[in-house]
Formats: sequence, C-alpha cells, structure tokens
Amino acid sequence: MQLRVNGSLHEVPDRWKKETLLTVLREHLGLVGTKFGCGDGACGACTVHVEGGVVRSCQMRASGAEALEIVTIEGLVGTGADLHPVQQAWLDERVAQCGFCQAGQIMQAVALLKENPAPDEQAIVEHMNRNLCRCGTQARVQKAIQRAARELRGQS
Amino acid sequence: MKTVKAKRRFTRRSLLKGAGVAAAGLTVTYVIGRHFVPILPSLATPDIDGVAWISVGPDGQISMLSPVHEMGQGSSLGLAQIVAEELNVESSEIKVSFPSTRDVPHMRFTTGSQAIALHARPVADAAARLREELRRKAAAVIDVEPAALADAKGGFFAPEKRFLSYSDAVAGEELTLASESLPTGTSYTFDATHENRQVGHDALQIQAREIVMGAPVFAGDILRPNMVYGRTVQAPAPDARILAVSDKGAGDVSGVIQVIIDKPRRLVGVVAETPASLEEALKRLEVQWDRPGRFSAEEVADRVDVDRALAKGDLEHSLVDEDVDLSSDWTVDLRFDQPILHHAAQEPRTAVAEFSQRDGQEVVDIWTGTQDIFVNQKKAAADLGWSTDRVTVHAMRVGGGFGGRVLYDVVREAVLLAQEVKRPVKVTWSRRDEFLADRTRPPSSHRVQIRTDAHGQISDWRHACVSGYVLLTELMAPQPLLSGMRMVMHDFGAARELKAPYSARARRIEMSDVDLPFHVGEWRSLGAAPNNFAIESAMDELARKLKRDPLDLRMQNLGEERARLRNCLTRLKTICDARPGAPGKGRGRGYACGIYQEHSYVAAAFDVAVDHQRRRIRAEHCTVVMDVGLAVSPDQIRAQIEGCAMMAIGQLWKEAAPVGDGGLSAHGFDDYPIPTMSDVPQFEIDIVDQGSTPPAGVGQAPIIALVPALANALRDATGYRALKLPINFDDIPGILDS
Ligand code: FES
Ligand code: FES
Repeated sequence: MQLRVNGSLHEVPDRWKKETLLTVLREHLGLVGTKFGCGDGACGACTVHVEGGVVRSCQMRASGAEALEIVTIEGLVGTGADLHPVQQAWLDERVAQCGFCQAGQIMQAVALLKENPAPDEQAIVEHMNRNLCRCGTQARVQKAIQRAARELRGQS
Repeated sequence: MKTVKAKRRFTRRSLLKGAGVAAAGLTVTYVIGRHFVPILPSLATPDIDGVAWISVGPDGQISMLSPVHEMGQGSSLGLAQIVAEELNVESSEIKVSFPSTRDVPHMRFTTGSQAIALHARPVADAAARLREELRRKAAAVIDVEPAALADAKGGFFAPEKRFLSYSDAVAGEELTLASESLPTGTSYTFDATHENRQVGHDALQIQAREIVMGAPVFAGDILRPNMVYGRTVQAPAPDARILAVSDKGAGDVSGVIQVIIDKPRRLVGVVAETPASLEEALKRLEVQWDRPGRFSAEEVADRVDVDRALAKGDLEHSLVDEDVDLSSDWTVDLRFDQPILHHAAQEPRTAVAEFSQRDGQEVVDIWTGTQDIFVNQKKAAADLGWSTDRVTVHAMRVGGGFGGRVLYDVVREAVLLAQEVKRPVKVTWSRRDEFLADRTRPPSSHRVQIRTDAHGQISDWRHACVSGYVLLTELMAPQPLLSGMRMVMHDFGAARELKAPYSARARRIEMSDVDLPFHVGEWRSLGAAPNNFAIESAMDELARKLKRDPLDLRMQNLGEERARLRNCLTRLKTICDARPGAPGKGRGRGYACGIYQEHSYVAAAFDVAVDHQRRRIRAEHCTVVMDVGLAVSPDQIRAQIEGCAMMAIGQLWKEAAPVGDGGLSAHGFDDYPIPTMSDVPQFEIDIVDQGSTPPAGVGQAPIIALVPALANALRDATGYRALKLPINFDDIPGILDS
C-alpha cells in the first residue's frame, strides 16, 4: 500500500493496513502534528485534508486513503515565507494555549478559507464549531481566521 | 530576600547539557526559599525547593531551563520575559527548555498558577546578577571600570559608542561561577523607575511556532526505535478488584506481542506492534471486577447533601465559629448544589517508557506530560524497586492541565508494560479511559445564610458546605496515613476560599468532606470556584432582596484590607456604566468578584440574552477586571481569562459528569459536552497595573468570579436563580414561550 502525503509517496507495510489514517500518519510516517484527541470523530484534533476536503483521520482507514492526496499540518506551505498565512495569523493572534487542538483547528480553518475567502462570523462558527478546544481559545481562533482571510484576499 | 547560592550536587556538565548549551558559557544557579507549604508530602522535605538555570553560551546565546512545566498557562514565557528584561534582549531570543529529572535537583514543580509567583523574583535577581557579571567581564576586555559600560541590546556600550556583545564578554571562555561570587545586581523587573521593554508587553508563547507547524512537543509525539503500543484495562472504580480475566483470543490477534495479566498489581494489559492490533486485542479481553461500592447518582447526591448533613448536627470541621445568631430570620438563605466535573483536557494521558543500560546498570527513560516530573519519578522507582536516580522523566508539554495532570497512572502502565516486553512502549489512553480514570472535581452542596442590618451591613454569615475530597486523596498520602489525616484535618483544597472576603459581625463557616466511590482530585482553582459560586450567588440575591446595587453592596461589606478587590469592583463599575447593557426582556447583566489565595483579585460581569428561538441563553459580553500584581505577560493573562470564561459557560449550561450503573459513565465528548465556538462572548478585559507588587498566578483565579457572574446575569435576565448546576433550561420561566 502507498499513501501520498504532503506531495510525496510513502510505502506503508501490510501490518499497518488496518490502521486508521491517523495512526499511520503519526506512528508510521512520524507526522505527529496531527493529534489523537478522542478517536470518535468528536473533537477534530485529527483533522487533515484528503483531496482538498477536511477529514477526521481517526475515522478513516489508511487503506481508504490510498491513491488520494493527503495534506497534514506539516504540509501546509505559504507563498515564499515559511508559514502558511493561516499559521502566521495563529501566531499574530497568539491563539494557542496548550496547543493540542491547534493543528486540527488550523487545518479546519484552511479548508474554510479555500471554500469561502470572506467568511462572516456565522460562517466561521458553523464551520469551526465541532473542533473542540478545552483551553477556550475559540475567540482567538475566530480572530485569526478573519486576519488570515484578509491576508489571503490581499495576496490574490 | 532569597539567598542565591551555588548548587552542590550537580556537575557543570549536566547543567550545560540540561540547558542545551553545547560548549562552555557562564551559568548561574539560584535557589528559592522554602516559604510555601508543599502540597504533596512526598516532596515535603526536598533539600532544594526550586532551581532554574540561566546561561550565556560562548556565542552569546542566552538559554534557560524553565522551572515550570508548560501546559498553556504561559508561565515559562513570563519567566523568559523577565530574563530578557534583565539581560536586555528580546524574549524570543532566549532559548527555553524544559528539564528532565536528571537536569535539575529534586524540587517541587508548581502548578501553573503558583509558578510565576514563586519564581519571578529569584529569576529576576539571578538574571540581574548574571548581567552585572557580564558587565564586569566586558569591562575587563577593554580595561575600563564596569560602571563605564552602559546597557545595550544584547551587550554593552563602552565610551565612544563601542559595542561589546555578550559573546565578547564571555570570550569563548569555559567558566563556571559559584553564584556567591557574582556581583549583586538590582533587578529591573521590579524597579518602578526602570522602563520595562519585555515585562508587561505581549510576546509569543514558548513553543508557539512548533505548535502551528505541528512539530513534536507532546508525549505522544515521541517516537523511539523499535517502539510498540500498549495499554491496560482501566478499573471501573478505585475500589474495584479483579475477579477473573479471560483472554478470549486477545493473544491471537495478529500483531499482539504479549497479553499481560498480573492480578495482584491490578494490571491487565496488552502490548502490540500497532495501535489497531492493540485496540482489537483489548476489545477481546474480558475482565470481571469485584465492585464492593456500587453506587447510583442518587446515592452520590445523598452523600453530599448539605441539609441532610446539617440535620444531623454540626458539620465535621468548623473553620470559623463566631457567635452567629442561628435563628431563622435570615435575609437570604439559599442552598446550592454543584455537580461532578471532568477535566476533559484535549490530550489524552500519554507516556512512553524505554529501558536501557547506562553506566553498567539498567535505567528507564519516561516521556510524559505531567504537572510534576518528580512525583512520577518517585512512583516509578517505587514500582520497580529501584533508586530514583535510575528513573529519568522527561517533561513534555501538557495538552491541557487544569489540575488533572499530577497523576502517575499512565506512566505506571508504560513502565510496567515496557519492562515486560523489553521494548519501548507508548501508552495513550482512550477517551473513555480519560473520563473513567479522571480525578474529577467532586460534587459539593452548600447552604449560605446571610443576615444584614437595615443599612445592608452584614451582621451574621453562615456557610455550610459538604464536598468530596480534593487534596486529601491517595495522591497526598498512602493508607492508613491518609485516613488519619482525614480525621485530624479538613480538606484544605475543598475549603479553598470558603471564607468569603466580606466582613460580618459574626461568621460560622463549617464543612464536611466525604469519601466518594470514584476518583476525585484537583480541578482548576480547587474548591474556590464552587465555594465562591455559592457566596457570590447569595450576595447577588442579597442585593436584590435589599434593592441595592450589587456592586455597591459588595463594596460596602468589604473591609479596609480588601482595597485591591474594591479597586477591581470600582473599575468594573466604571466600565460597565459606560456600556449599558442592551435593554429588553430576556436580557440581563450579572456581577461577581473574588480573591484567590490572597494574591489574585478579580471582578467580572456577564451580559446574557435569552435566545427563545433556539431555546438557549447566550453569554454576549464578558467584562473582567483583574489584579495579579505585576502583569508580566498581559496577553497570557487575557488568554487565561478567556479560557476561564468559556469554562464558566460550560459550568452554567452544560457540564456534569454522568454517573451510570455503578460508575462514571462518560465514554466520549458526546457524553460530556464542553463549550464550543458558538458560545464565545465578546471580551473586555482590564488588567490592573501593579508594577511594584510581585506577580501572582492567573490560571485559576478568573473562574471563581466568572461562574457566579454568569449565574447572576441569568437571574437578572429571567428571574431564575441557578441553585443547581448545570441549569436545566426547562426550569427557566418563560424560556419556552414568548
Ligand atoms: S481524534 Fe479524531 S475527532 Fe477526535
Ligand atoms: S489550546 Fe488547549 S485544547 Fe485548544
């Protein structure tokens, strides 16, 4: 089995076949930015992009992702600068507290801005509401998304 | 003043290694005083209470070891800002690392809130002395008096504007100084005449970049060669004993390395090559438990029922017993009940353990996110029958602490399983384990009775409280010592802030602490949030009864010595008066305040609106005034306030740990909903600048005022007094109609 992650092909041995995409990413490929928070699809810490759309990787079998384009937090790239504008906005708004949920939040936010470059508050809440953060950073996540949206619109 | 002295037991080599400094440099150590009561008796007599190291490498790079673990409260940033202030660099230029048990002598690691309070001053003093030593060395380079050198960014200016960097000053020299020989230095941080450039300014959190890039910082991010995956079956309750275990083919699952069944140690677990094999095998394993103390939610409620306890006579512990008039004509007389709460931190508990040979003996390395590496080290050593020096615990970032991460459980699993299979083992708890073995905030029940004179002056005050244990748990002491302690003292965690800040002619404050059949322990602010919820809800009701302004009534009843809290209330009033709440039915504003551990002062207001359509209540605006002394990292203070506000919303509307047939029954986040983005209010946060007062912690204090402020806003909007948390929307008059 092979997985295409962040633009490169990775060989996945047979014994990892029955694993979730999340555990293959983290434990086999060492892409540990994507987190395990619940394993139930309830928290969003494991959010990655598959074929450009958000997927909770704890809910997907690795075998089901074969031949699909997978992007993780490690694969986000900006234009020229080292950070994606959403990552940069996260720093500018000083979003993270413990940080555990943030990779999932960022991946969810990047997908939103791809679909909707100028989301209003309601659109942001609707899109982000199922990404849990126990530290209570939601107000800053909102602000960071708005900042990144402005930044991205300015670029295009 | 704390003494600064050299550390004896530690070689320079290990210091440098710990600080991540490759070659030589200048290192300063400091020792903080023994002026606090250790919470955990296991650490009651450490020879050193706390240590941190700040060093300047040959290249001028400043590094420090953080004496606090990081879990999002920003204490390590605060300390880095202080060092940066003293050494005239940007806080982002300082390399901060988190020590393992090998890098620092045995010390008590503080929970987030105390960290900055304990360490700020010693860190500032040590860094100031280091700066003066650098000045002396730089002066020697060009043969002038140290006083001739002026501070500059990253170094000094000599006469004629010649710049000498710290790298020039240390001149690549291999040098260790006993800190007694350091010159004295006045710290800038606490000098009111010094214009701070780092302290009091917003800065990026330690590891913030790693977090947004997905770089490894948590225990689960550790990958070791040849590592495998393990987990044990969690007992359904603390008193459960294993009756029988049947393998049911768990051992046959492909990829399973070993099924471990060790009844005396209550250890039933699996180690497998991959996480999915582990899950499958664990599903097959069948454990029969003996549960002597099965219980229902009603039985738990009965055990903490304050009126039931009072009916039997005085409560077990009298904290204040003045001559209170107990006749029944109280101005307000209310009972409050609060539920079991989970921490529900986002990171499930995780540990990696690896055995190896070092200097001819077997040792173990453990990576985990914990609030105290030394508790874990000691317990692991005890389990192995080893001396502690053979156990190294590496501190990883904690994915949400809130008081729930002092524990040893997951480390024990990793150590014992790794010892069995002789390979590195990673243990990550399932979400179900997280809830089941959580050291919950125990439920509590309160009766608050207040009598005032005709002018609203409180004459008699009574607060009776029944709570589960918070600190007098098996983490505090083993049995039978624990039972003895429970007999002679009250649970000082559950009793935190049980004494209200208000003056009264006579007060009676009493409590009973009761044993409950599930795990309990520390939860953000310990008993302070539930106790102050009862106090501030009752004060609000008192103001209504007397038709008084709720802020004025509070200020009237605060003694002279409560000037800092009074100041917060005054500022809150000014802010709130300038922004009147939107008028109309179903809208309201509520206030509350509190003092946390005599070091943090907070006054808060919430504006709420009933959303009839969606049958819910929205917290629209949240105003907080906070005085924590010197505000080292104002943005981190704001972040903690925002986080506490979200938790307050959770407590009012959502959170209560479900109890099912015989135990804590939440399996996942669906069973224990926590606040989400749709709950976010607008924030207005005013941080009182008290530059000359030592900084205090901020992680826990805001929540004690925010929960009652929200309840009081609900009362204002709907007439409904939240006596039992979380509220049931169906109980609120008028929420269904109109
Ligand atoms: S870990 Fe996948 S949703 Fe929580
Ligand atoms: S930052 Fe801690 S859970 Fe979101």
